[in-house]
Amino acid sequence: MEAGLELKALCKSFARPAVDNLSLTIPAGELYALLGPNGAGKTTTLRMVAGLLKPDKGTIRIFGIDAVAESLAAKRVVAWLPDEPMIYDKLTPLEYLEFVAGLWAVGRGAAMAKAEELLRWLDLWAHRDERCEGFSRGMKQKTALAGALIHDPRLMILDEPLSGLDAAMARQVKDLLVRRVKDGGTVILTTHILDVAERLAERIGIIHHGKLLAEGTLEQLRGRSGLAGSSLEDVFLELTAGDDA
Amino acid sequence: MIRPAPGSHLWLLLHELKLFFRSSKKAGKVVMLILAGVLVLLAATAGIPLALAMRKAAFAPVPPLVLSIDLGAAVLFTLMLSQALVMTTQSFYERGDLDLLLSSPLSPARLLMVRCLGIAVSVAGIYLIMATPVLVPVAFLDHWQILGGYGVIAALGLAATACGLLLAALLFKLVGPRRTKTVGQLLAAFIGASIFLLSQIPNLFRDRLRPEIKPAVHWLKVQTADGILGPHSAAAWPVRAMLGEAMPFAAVLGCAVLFYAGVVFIVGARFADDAAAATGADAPRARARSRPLRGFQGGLYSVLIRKEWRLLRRDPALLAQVLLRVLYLLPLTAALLENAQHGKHLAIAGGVGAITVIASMIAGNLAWITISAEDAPDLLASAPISRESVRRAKLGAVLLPVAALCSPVLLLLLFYPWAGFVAVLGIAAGSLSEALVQLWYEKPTPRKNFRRRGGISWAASLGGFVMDMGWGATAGVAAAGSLWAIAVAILPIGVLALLSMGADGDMIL
Repeated sequence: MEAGLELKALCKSFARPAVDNLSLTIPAGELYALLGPNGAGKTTTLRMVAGLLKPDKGTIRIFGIDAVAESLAAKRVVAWLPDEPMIYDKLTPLEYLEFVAGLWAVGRGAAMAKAEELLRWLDLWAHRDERCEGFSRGMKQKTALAGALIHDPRLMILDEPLSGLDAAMARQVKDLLVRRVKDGGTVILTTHILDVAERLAERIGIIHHGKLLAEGTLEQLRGRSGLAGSSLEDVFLELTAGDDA
Repeated sequence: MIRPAPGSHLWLLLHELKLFFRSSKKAGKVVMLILAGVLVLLAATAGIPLALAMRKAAFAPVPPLVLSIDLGAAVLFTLMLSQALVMTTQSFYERGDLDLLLSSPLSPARLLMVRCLGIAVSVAGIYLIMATPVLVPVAFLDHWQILGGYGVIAALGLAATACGLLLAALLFKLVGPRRTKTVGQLLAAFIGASIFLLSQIPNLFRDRLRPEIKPAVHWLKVQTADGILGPHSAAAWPVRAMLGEAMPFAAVLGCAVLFYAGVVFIVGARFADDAAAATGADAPRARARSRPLRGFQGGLYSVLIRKEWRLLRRDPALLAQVLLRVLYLLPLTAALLENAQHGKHLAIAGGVGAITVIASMIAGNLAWITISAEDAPDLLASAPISRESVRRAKLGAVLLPVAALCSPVLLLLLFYPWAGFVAVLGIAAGSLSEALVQLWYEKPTPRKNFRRRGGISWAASLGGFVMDMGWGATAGVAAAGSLWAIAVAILPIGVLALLSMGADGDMIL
């Protein structure tokens, strides 16, 4: 099966190594959760995949495209959604989507239709002509989500995608991610809400001090930690505590 | 060590000072050294020669001195008031620790008193420092009384802050919290430029004012002899305070303190309510007008440029900083065209130089806002577009409005083709140089953190200023028809080349 995302021996250091020889492969059509304690290197990894940071060493392939050498080609099929919404307070949601569609060179007619569909689905249609500056954090996050989806990305990279969303909206987003994966899209996300990873992800990677500690389905992780029948929370704490020791 | 009672005025003042000094440390040693160098240079070239020249002179509040000091004080006051209005208005909106302080059992009036004292120090501080290279040498050489000048500047700072606060509170009442921030910024821009605008009236309406000039000069002569500008008039009090006379000094400073305390007392009673009302000022109206749907505009450059213009248009606080310079540009352009009609060669050359400087400064400010104020740098970085495309579009977003603003200069081509050509070339060179420096030294910062210019390094800011002056001088000399313009042009070109060496890796040109 074609790999949606393939990282090989990825390294990135700031004052100290943030990502250390990280390798992982996510087949197309999979939802992968990358978990780890604060400062483990999750966001740095995702920012390198999104083309926002250059790796010191290693390779990143997105649907076979070398994301370092051909960054623009790779970015065309990627959407990056960080926990802090990347929006302009002084633009309205419709203007924001027009701008993002322009960046990804989405045709005008298609972009307009998609924008309407997304804004209606995200309950933002009534607010389409209001500036984002007065929006709640959840509404801003929804606007950013619409922006991430307007070019129909093949790989979605989400850093804490549910932060700031109310329960109903969080459910909507989770359903959307599942639907995209069913339609052949690939999703990699980080989250501190382990229940989300447990329910949504087909495979889970646990990263600590920039290294991949363990990877696999929940069952495989349970086996690795020797905690059969335990929750992901117990498995996660066991694996990361063991590494600290 | 002073340990004031918690919650007292002094305790709160020390807290504010601690925060101020901790945030000022970022300025760094280099900036302090540059500032010290400028002060020493001013003392050596102006202060000490002046002190030596005046050593044996007796200072007296003669009418010409009264007139010049009063005019100087008026200019200083408008500049301080402009700054104070922006800062006091902002004090209602900037949350920072305001919510914490207002939720404590401290009286809002006390909080406002201390906060505005900080504003007064900040608006008067720079002038107190800049006066030092003149006041201290003169004081050392037999005229210690001149130190009264510090008191006059401090009084002006207090009065300007009180006026700024009063205006901000009035705006709050008259136009409401949603519009106060915008109207305050625009008003501040007009106040800052008011003296210059007034000074341009004779230039613009020379013919119509000519019959009025003679009686006005006669009236002024009478007044300077023994009228409202006489040594015993109220107008002479600032000068007498500056010269260290105890009673006028106490009166000037005392009036300012009383005025300040009175305004803070009046506004302080409403401060908590107004600050609370300002909290939701940015919230959307209950229901925004739904506009009829129109199609999306396509094209990378089109969406990038339109986005920049939309953001610029919708941020009056930042726009006001540009407007201040536009206020200088428009009357100068009108005066230049007026002089061109009357065939005044020297005035035309000076006008071309001045317009080049101001247009370059406007371009620099626009470039700073457009290039460095970026709320979503990660969005642009994660999009499938090259950094150069974004930069070129931003450059276009900067240069097109400057070209539109300066388009009246094209009329000069009708009267003096050479001067008009030089003006266009000078404006283009100055604007492009400023925009390039901003591109080379860009530091993306969210717009909400963009209250004051300070995004790029001090070296680049200083270099930009020298370039503006250099291009202005080049254009002025060239407009006068002198070949010396080629030599003068070496300065801005050299500075641009120097700055390009320190630029980051991806240069656009």
